[in-house]
This record gives sequence, C-alpha cells and structure tokens, in this order.
Amino acid sequence: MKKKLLAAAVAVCAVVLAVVIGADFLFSKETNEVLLSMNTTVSLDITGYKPEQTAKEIKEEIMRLDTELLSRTSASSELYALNNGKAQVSDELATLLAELKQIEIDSDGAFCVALGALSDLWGINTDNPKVPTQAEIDAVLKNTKDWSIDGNTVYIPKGVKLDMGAVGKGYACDSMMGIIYGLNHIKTVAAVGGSVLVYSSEPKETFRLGIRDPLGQATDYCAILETTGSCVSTSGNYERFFEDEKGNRYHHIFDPSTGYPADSDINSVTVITQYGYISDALSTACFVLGVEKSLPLLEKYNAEAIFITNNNEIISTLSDGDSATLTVTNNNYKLGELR
Amino acid sequence: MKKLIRPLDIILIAVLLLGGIGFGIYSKNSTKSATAVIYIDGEIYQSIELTKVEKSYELTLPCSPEATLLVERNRISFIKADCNDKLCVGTGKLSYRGDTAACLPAKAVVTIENGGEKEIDALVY
Repeated sequence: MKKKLLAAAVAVCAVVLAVVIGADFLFSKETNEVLLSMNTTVSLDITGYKPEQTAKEIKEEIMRLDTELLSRTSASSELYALNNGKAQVSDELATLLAELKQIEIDSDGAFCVALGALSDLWGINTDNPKVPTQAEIDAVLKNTKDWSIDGNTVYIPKGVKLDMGAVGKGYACDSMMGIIYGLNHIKTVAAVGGSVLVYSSEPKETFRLGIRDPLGQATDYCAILETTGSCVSTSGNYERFFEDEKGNRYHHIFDPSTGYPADSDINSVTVITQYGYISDALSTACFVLGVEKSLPLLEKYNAEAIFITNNNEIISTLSDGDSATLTVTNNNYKLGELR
Repeated sequence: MKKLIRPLDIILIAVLLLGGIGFGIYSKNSTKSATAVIYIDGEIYQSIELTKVEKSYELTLPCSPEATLLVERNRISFIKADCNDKLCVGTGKLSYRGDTAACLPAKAVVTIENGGEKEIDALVY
C-alpha cells in the first residue's frame, strides 16, 4: 500500500514538473502582424500565451486612436472637431494636449503641435508640394503659439490647426504599453512607423534596434542600439521630402520659428525614453534645435539621444552606466564626442 | 485490490511527457522557410514561399494605384508603384522575418513570415 502511494506521488510530481517546464515552450507563441493606420505601417511582433488576442486588442486601440482621437482628416475624430470649432475635449485628449503644451514651452517652441496650417501650405505629403511665399508663411505662423488649454477647454486662434503628426505614433506606443504592461511572459516589439516600443516582462531582457542610416536606403542602418524596455523615436530629414526645379530639397520637419524645414547640424536624431509621446515630440524638437541646444531639454525629460550629424558623426548622450549601449556598424560614420 | 499505478506506468507517463516537451521545443525552434505574405486591404492576397522560387518574376497587384513586386529567390521587393512618394519602392528588398514594405495609398502590404532572424529586432527611422 505504501509503495502504491509513493508511486502515485512520484507520478503526480512528474506531471506537475513537466507541465511547469513545458508550459513556456508549449503555450508561448509568437505572432507577427501588420496594420495600416495613422498614415503609416504598424508592425507587431508579440511573444506570449495568447499573442493573437493581444495583437487584436492593440490593433483595435490603434484604429481607435487614429479615427476617433488624433486624425486631422477623419471627420469622426476629436482633433477634427477641435480644428473645426469645437472647444471641449475628452479627458484623454486634454491630458495629452496639456503635456504637449508643456513640451512646447520647455523646448522654447521648437516643438509645436499647432503647425497644421503650415504643413498644409507646403503640402509635402500631397501631389502638389510647393515652396510658399514669405507672406503666406508669416500669415500661418502668426498665432501658432497662442493656442491654450485649461482643463477640458481648448482655445485655438482663428486659422490655426493642431496636427499630431509629430507625436501620434509615439502616443500609440504608450497606448500599446497600457495593454501589455503587467501581462506575464510577454515580449513585444511594436513599430508604429519609425517609432518603436520594446517591452519584455523580463526587465533585464535587451533588444537590438537599428538606427536608420540617413544617407542609405530605407532598410539600411548605421548603428545598433541595445536597450531594455523603452520607447524609441527618430526624426530625420530623409523620410518625407520633395525637390523643387532647382534641385533644392525640402523635408517635412518644420522649424516653428522660420516656417521652413529645420536646418540644424544634424541629419537625424533618435530619442529614448519610457514614454512614446515624449520620445516622439522630443525627437522633433531636438531635430529643430541641433545637438547643443537639445541637451538641457533631454536632461529635463530624463531622455537619451543619438544624433547623426551632417558631418557623419554619431553623437550619443549615453554613458557607461546606462542600461543602453550603442554600436556603430557602418564605417562611413564615426563616434563623436559631446562638447 | 489492483494497483492504481504500476512502476511501468510511471515510465510510460515520463516517456510521453518528455516526448511532448521535446516536440514542443523542436517545433518552436525549427526554422520554417521564409514566406512573403501579401495583403491587400487587410486581406491575404497571396503567400509565396520564397525559398522555392526558381526563377525571378514580376507580380502586379490588383490594387489601386497599381503596384508591382519583384519576386526573387529568398527575397521580394516593390519595383513599381503609381503613387507619388514611392516609399514602398524605397524600402528595398525584404528577406528576413518581420521585414515589411507597404504601399499606403494602395493598402498593399508585404511582410516576411518565418525564415531567418536578422541582426536587429526593429529599425527606428
């Protein structure tokens, strides 16, 4: 009788042990999914117990953000209503707009969410981009600083249009984080256009992110950033642009002080933080500001950055103690020093 | 009274379980060959196993504006698109798992499933 009990106990233990060991291998699956939304490609790579379910929730959330909250062209979005005379916004949009106003102030206006009319004027993503006259630029820049938010009430001066192009993709990363944070055994690499969220329930797990080579093809990278869970966004002068008949190139990131494409000492800047909307907004601000003027802003938001200068130097704010490391993989570039 | 579980049963259970776990590990780690999955308007239009492509060919997608792919052994790329920005063509050749190119106006997406891992988890741009 004792023997029988012992045998049964051993069998039960074996089963339990096998299930515990096997669960991770047998039930953890990976899914790769792609969605076109927010005027870009969203790609999701999720490993976990029910990755398809997680991916489905994320896709629904991103479509909601696009069509109901942030799109400037979709008539059903809150931003559309705001740009067309409505003054009251939801708590969600109010919170985001208040944060963006703060970044506008902290960046001395280098980041500005009120450049919708300016980008319409240039039409860089349209069939007929053109260089506007100075008078046209002056007219649309006149009141861009004067938009304001108080509680859930937004004031937008006449002729000013808000545009989330510089922050929506990063904000989408934050919304995704809201879905996956706290799930067990999950690993996610999510890219909303060039804004990337990497997250693992193992906090020490690292990810390798390629930083686009500003002078190369769209899939080329010139450095690899190895980092634990974070949000990473890049702003560069290579992505959306047009050339006039004289061969001058005009890209899509405007300097709010001139109304022209930003012309600082860099071809791209990549910002790493814990919040996507911050990495996205700061990458735009830092692109406008250039290396030196960006540093206090980065420090204020506890963000790190990697600048690629127009002398092909890669300048990083990462230091030895940081959890992220950078490796230059293209010999045309050399690591530069922060001055 | 018959024994509930005999020693042989334990061995049997152990063998079955180990076999199951072994299979699980094997099936997760075995690399399936790279497959290009083409989506038009969110629906799968065609899957092409790229390792089995003998001869390169062009594939024009029934989307609007029109876009054409070049299907080659182990890689695929957009080579023509009737849109303005040509971002899809600029994306270049796709060959590693997760590589993706999209023509936004035509709602056409090509993504690589399975196949080899590349050096990076994602590209920031």
